[in-house]
Amino acid sequence: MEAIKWILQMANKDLKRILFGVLLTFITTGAAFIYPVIYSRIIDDVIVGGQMNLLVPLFSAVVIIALMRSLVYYWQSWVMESATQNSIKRLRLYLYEKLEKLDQGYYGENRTGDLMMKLTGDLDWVRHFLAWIVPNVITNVVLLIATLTIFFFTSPLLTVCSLVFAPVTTFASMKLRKVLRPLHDRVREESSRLNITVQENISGNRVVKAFCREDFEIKNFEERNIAYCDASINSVRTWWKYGPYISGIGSSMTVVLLVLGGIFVINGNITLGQLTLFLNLAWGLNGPISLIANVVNDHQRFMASVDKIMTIYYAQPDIVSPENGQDASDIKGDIEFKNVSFTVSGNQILKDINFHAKPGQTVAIMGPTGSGKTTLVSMISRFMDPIQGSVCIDGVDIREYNLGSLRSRIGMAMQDVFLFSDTVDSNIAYGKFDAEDEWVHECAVDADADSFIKRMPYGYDTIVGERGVGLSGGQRQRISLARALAYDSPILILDDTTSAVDMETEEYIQGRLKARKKKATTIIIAQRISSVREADCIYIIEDGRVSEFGTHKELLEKKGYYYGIYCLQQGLTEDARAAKAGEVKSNG
Amino acid sequence: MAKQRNKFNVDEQLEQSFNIKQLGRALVYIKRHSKSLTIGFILCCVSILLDLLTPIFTEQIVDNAIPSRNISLALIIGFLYLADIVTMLIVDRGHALIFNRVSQTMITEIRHDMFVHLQKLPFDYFDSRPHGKILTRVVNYVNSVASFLSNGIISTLLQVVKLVAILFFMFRMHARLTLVVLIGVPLFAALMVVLKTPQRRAYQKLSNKGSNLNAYLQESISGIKVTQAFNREEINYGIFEELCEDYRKAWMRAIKISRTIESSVIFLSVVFVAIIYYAVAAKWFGEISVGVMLAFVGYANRFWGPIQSLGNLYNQLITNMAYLERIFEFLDEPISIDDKENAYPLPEIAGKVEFDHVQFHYEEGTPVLTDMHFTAEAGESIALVGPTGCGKSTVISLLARFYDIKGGQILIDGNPIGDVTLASLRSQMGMMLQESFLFTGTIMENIRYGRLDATDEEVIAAAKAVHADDFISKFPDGYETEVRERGSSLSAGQRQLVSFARTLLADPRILILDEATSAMDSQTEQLVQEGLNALLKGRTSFIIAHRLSTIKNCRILYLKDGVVAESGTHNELLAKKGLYYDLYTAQIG
Repeated sequence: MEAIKWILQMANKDLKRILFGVLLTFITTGAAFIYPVIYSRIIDDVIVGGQMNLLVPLFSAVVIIALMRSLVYYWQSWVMESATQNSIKRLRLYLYEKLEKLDQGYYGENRTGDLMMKLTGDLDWVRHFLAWIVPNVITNVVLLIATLTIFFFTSPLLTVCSLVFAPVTTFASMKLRKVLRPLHDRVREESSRLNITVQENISGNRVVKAFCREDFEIKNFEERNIAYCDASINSVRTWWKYGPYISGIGSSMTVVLLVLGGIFVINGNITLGQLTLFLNLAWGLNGPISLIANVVNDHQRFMASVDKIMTIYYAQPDIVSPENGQDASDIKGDIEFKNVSFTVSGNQILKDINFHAKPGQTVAIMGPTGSGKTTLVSMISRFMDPIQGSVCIDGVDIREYNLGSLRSRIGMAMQDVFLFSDTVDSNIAYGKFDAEDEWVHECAVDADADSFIKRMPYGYDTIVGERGVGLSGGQRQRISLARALAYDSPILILDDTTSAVDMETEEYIQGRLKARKKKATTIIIAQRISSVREADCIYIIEDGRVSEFGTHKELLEKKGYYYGIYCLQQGLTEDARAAKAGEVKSNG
Repeated sequence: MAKQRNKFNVDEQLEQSFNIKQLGRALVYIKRHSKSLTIGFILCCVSILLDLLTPIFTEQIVDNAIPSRNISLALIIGFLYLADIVTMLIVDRGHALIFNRVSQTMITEIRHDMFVHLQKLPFDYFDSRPHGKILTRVVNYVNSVASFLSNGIISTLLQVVKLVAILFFMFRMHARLTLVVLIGVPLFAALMVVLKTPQRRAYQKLSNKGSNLNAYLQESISGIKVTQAFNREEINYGIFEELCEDYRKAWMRAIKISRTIESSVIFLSVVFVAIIYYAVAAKWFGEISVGVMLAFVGYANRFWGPIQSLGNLYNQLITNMAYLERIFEFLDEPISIDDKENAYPLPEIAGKVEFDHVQFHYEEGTPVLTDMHFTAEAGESIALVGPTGCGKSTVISLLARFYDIKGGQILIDGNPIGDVTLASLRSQMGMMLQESFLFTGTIMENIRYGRLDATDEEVIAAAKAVHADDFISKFPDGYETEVRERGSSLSAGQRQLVSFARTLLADPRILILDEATSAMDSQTEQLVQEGLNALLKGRTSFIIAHRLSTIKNCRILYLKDGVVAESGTHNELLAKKGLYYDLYTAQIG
């Protein structure tokens, strides 16, 4: 029920509009009652009674009412549609805002295809609920009451007789409600799975092609496709098991009215005109009743979608901005990890990490694959919070800063480069959307991206995307680096940002970074000695712990992990020297 | 200039103009179900007939039973009436189930065709528009279209049949009165004609705006980490709000037109019933009994029903044409990389690869490869080296025929790769791409993607060969560990190891490694290298790596400006003191 409450709350601003719409609905529905009354007057007074002078006024009345009614109908549907659309827009924005706040934990558990469906397909059922189910239920309830009232005043006996089947209707609709729900849940589930399958196939299209797995993908897809088809067919089939009882009863009422009414006319209980009135108004009785089955069906489908939408509503991010959080705008960039530990589902990722980077320093992090380097730097931006210990910036635990203001002071180039389907220019200025062109170009130059961007057909206006046109891995990394630089923040995190660029380029970038006017505290994750040797301090992370740290020189003297890597990477040098010495081995 | 890529807030232009032939194409799908649809159609006709009988029952009771005070006659007619309704329900259930099955099957079929087509589309297609827009086409549009195709077309036919039947009954009852009712039809038709173009445009716009919204949504979700890192939530919210507003406006505009049509029908239907009353009361056509009139009104009401339905159907036709156009446009998307007409399967590859003066560009005017010329002997390891963006990855993509070359020739064992079937070519080639995309599923499933019939032992053996087993076996769930979307459960280096194992499991004749070890630490890389040397034996391989330490056993091709600038072994090239020497010395600093 909280779902309905929330939806209505979102629709609240349009409540007046909706009420007005409902009011208009009453008018259009009410107007429809006038025709039969007028028609029965035409029969009783004009045709049977011969009062010809009444004909023109009565006829004109019908035409005028019909005209008014169509106009009001148009107005009403306009009012209702715009109220619905406004509400849906609000709901969609609410969900979007919520998604923006949810943390990495949530995104690890939920698939893109499914989340998208919640904001599109599922919301469409809410639209259907607001635009169709709600007004129809209101209108038809009113219609039913109005019809019964008129009937009752015309002939109480006939009215009661026409309602004999009502209990059957109630029973059937309750039964329908119960059996449909699980079926609709299934339809919803299958459609989401189908969506996910296609979405992943599109994202992974390169791998599919590289492995020539088209047939395999088609087979997988076909399974989902057919499962969805079966689920849909099944739900409709079940509807037809119970639905006809309900609509059948609606139609039978007309028969009851006709036969009993006929008998009543014969016995003189009612007039022919009155019977005509009953017959002309019969739709006011069987219309609402026939509709029950459809309403029950759509309502259950709606509920299946709402349950899914509500999972976003109820989701709570673990990482939230503190109330009255401290403003981080003026931080200098002193970063300190104090005994930081982190675990994921029982797996110790980081243990007792201590490290300190002073403002303007460059600190490098190295370590084996999967040792926790990325997790460590992610903590600075609070993508994860430590389980134990604390991360401090300028001596303040970062959990005390306002989250937005904290993140706005940290420029990040991530290991997995994600570019948006937008121009190169907008991608670089992503964090600083009001940046001047000169600034964007300057940062691109520093990231050694300017030269290749300029060579592209539209230069900085070229639209790139996740898998940008002809962009190599190194080029994407450099755009991502430029994006981090353009952010102009006192803290810069570079997570393996130059792994796909060649040495010359890397050297160039390092030189440019050093020459930048404002020196940010920089945390670099890298695998190459050449990337880290100039750092003020190098930390080696092994199995989630700091195993050694110091400058390039100090670490070489320690003859530990770093020294090993150094030798490995230098190994080639020795080979080269040996080769030069004359031991030339030919490779053919 | 080359065509710009599509962006989330740019409407995709429809290449074709409105064409009723699109419906003709849809007939292919309808024809497959002609048997079911015919049965359904017949059942519908029966139902209509039964429905049309009901005014007769009313007339009989009012005109015969009541005046003659014959209660038993009233009861008999009532009983018949009831029987009529029950039969009608049974028949209705029959055709509803048939149509539902047909429409669901049709959705499945169209979607199947689209998905199959999607698999054949070249990289260009995926690269040139947001993925959210592709998804919208393949999944969303089909739903609405297929139910229209099965229900809509049949309904149209039915409504026409109904209309004819009603007219028949009406004419039989009272011809001149019928003609009066018919005056309304041209009025209605005129309205439809006037509104046709704006309506079509409105629905096209709606489908575009919906697609834009989806595209942005998908990117927002995929790129959420970047958005959060750059504190962009508010701006993105603003953009999304605009897209929502565009969609809302497009919706309201489309609704405006549909509702105009609806309102008009409502008005006309009442007016013409009133005219019947007037005509009868004013005795335009002489004396007409009340019973006949009521029955006639019953038909007249039914007459406007189909007209109204036809109006709605027309509405749906317009909406669905907008989707149908998108669907067929998608299915018409040329498969630029496809088997030639008489393509032959490439025999088992020995491994000689020749690039014979190959020219290539992604976009007209920006050549990537100007004159790529080299030969790799069977079993040879070739390393491609050169500055970023010099075309290394392109060479590899061309070898797997992800793009077609613009000049020259690529030969494998003397077979031009354009002449052999794609499947036989790619299935003998193992590629490890720059981005190590993993599918959601277990690690086991991901590695097995390389060879679907591999046993668990073989999968584990492949993982061991690249030392991926070391970390996989440390996971609590081992090989059954779920790989999540956006790979959040594995580090980049681990993902590379898994994707490496996947490539090796495929046991390819030609192995391609594009930055296969870039995210690994040096020690892991060295372990992988050692394992790799054994695996490379007997296979031709192409390796791209920036860390030159990884390629010292290869013959090195130094690429620059789209040509091979230097070629030779590591030592030969060092001795030459050319470009490679410069690169190398920079690296070892």
